[in-house]
Amino acid sequence: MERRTIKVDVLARVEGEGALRLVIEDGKLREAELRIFEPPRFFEAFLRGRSCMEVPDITARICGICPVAYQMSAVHAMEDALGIAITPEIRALRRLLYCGEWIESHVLHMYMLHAPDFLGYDGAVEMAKDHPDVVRDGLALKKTGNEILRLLGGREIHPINVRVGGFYRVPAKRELRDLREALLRGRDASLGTVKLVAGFEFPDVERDYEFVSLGNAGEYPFNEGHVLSNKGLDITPQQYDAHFEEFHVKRSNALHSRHIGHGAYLTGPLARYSLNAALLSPLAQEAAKQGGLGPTCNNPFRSIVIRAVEVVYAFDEALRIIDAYEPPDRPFVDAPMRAGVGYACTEAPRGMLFHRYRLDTEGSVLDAKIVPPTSQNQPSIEADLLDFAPRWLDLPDERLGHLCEQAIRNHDPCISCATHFLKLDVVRE
Amino acid sequence: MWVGGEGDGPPEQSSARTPPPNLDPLRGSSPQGEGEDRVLHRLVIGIGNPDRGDDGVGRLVAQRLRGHRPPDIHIEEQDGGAAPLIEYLRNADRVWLIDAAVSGAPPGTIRRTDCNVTDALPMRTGASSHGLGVPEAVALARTLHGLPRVCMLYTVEGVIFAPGAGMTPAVSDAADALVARLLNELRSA
Repeated sequence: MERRTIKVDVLARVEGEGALRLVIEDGKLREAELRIFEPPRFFEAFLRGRSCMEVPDITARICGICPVAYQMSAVHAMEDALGIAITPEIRALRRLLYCGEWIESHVLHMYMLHAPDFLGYDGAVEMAKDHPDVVRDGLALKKTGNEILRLLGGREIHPINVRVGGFYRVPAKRELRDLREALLRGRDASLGTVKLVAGFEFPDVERDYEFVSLGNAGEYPFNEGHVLSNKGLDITPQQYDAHFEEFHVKRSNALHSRHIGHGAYLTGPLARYSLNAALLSPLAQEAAKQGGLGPTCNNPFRSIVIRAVEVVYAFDEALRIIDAYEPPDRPFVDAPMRAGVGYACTEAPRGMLFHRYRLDTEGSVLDAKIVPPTSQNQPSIEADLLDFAPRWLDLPDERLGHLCEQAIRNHDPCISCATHFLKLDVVRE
Repeated sequence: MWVGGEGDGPPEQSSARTPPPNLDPLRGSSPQGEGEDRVLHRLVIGIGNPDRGDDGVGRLVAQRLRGHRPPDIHIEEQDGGAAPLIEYLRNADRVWLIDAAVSGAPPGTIRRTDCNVTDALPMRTGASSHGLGVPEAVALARTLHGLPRVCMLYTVEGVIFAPGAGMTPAVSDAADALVARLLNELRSA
């Protein structure tokens, strides 16, 4: 039996700690396991007994890259449990906040983490020596996203201004208008990003994913909608538990997730785009066309093009919201406490994020369930590797390892959210 | 937090580097905090996570320095993410970065590295977002727009980095020693 071992100790440019093990026997790929040894973080457990009003700020601490997603799923779930409805103005401001997060998170991933894969560099530092303008553009775009977070969230990381029922403070019209010039520049620059990443060389692979994302809300999804799939699923977030289940696998401290009766599914840019492309703004739709995207996309390596299109959309949407903005009379609606169960799904940059909370009559959390996108995507990431890696087995070890890392980065996994480094271990035997 | 061995650089180097010709003045909004809309002449940045034991030593130094702050010294605390650090390094003339380190040296060991002299700061895997932390920020800033005229990195060796842990007494003592040393250096810088 031929045995060949390739070991990449640290897979950089992902958030969190984990390892990938590939076992190859006699030239055939036998196993592809994403092992997550990030210690469990027990957020669901220590939310018990906390006031529902505290939860958005606690869950924001789950992730430094996508804190808004955790705040948004938490507040919407609490509002569902308490039976309160937010005003259209608050809803628009939450979309604007999400635009900021999509911009900063997508741009970080595209420019600093994923582009080096396509341009043949070990990382952004090496890439910057030959392509300083690319890195400068990325940093400038990211900064604009951060400025939205700072204005609406109170600060750029782990925002503190979101509350159940609305915001603690809403911006004056003038404050939003001050963002306009930077957003216009950012929107122009984001069209350049689409052109840049669309010119990368993509492995010619596709998979028949079950795409799952929010949709049917009459808008490209951020905060609301039904949970849809390209295989016919159409449910409300309240029905999520009946259709999806988490399960433990020994190799991972993050729970995996499956669509009951169907198996692995994929959330994130590919799913969102494939289920909602027609809801992008005309400018973003044109950018998608110019970027070579069709109505759907099943090649995960092209996820970088979709992220770029989503950044165009986020700038466009942010400008639309700012231009239409009229400050609400009150920054929040009252949130009288009552017992209940609340559910919400929102679209984190890297995929759909489900929260469920059960509250007592005082509004204290009795139990919590948080299903991050990376937990949902883990089985699909492994399936990608099982599907793609056999085509690459003849490649030198270093190239094989690199492509596998890139295949993982296609999905911008946030392992620390799901439970933090990835270690890649390829065994050929 | 830095994870590195001997690569943390010899102490007490001094830079003979001339000011980078392409140090941009502030354009648009500056990093958040005091000193907006102006070039940051002298900037101290304490880096780390105060909730992870010795990792908070950089920020502790920044906080203690505030109580003795000489005029026109701008003091910031950061978690170590690359993007804001690059921005600070673009907008400041003289910068002192304070961070925790792990190299196997005794706890509380202080190292001083002149980033304008040392090309190869140890890239490492640490408590930063998506693997982009202080060394990457310094390297990117150097490539993109040149480093500040003075760019000094002080590290304090730590041993305990667990979430919620307290600070090792030797590390806390070193923070006091480093504050005194920095005050001395800042007076003449």
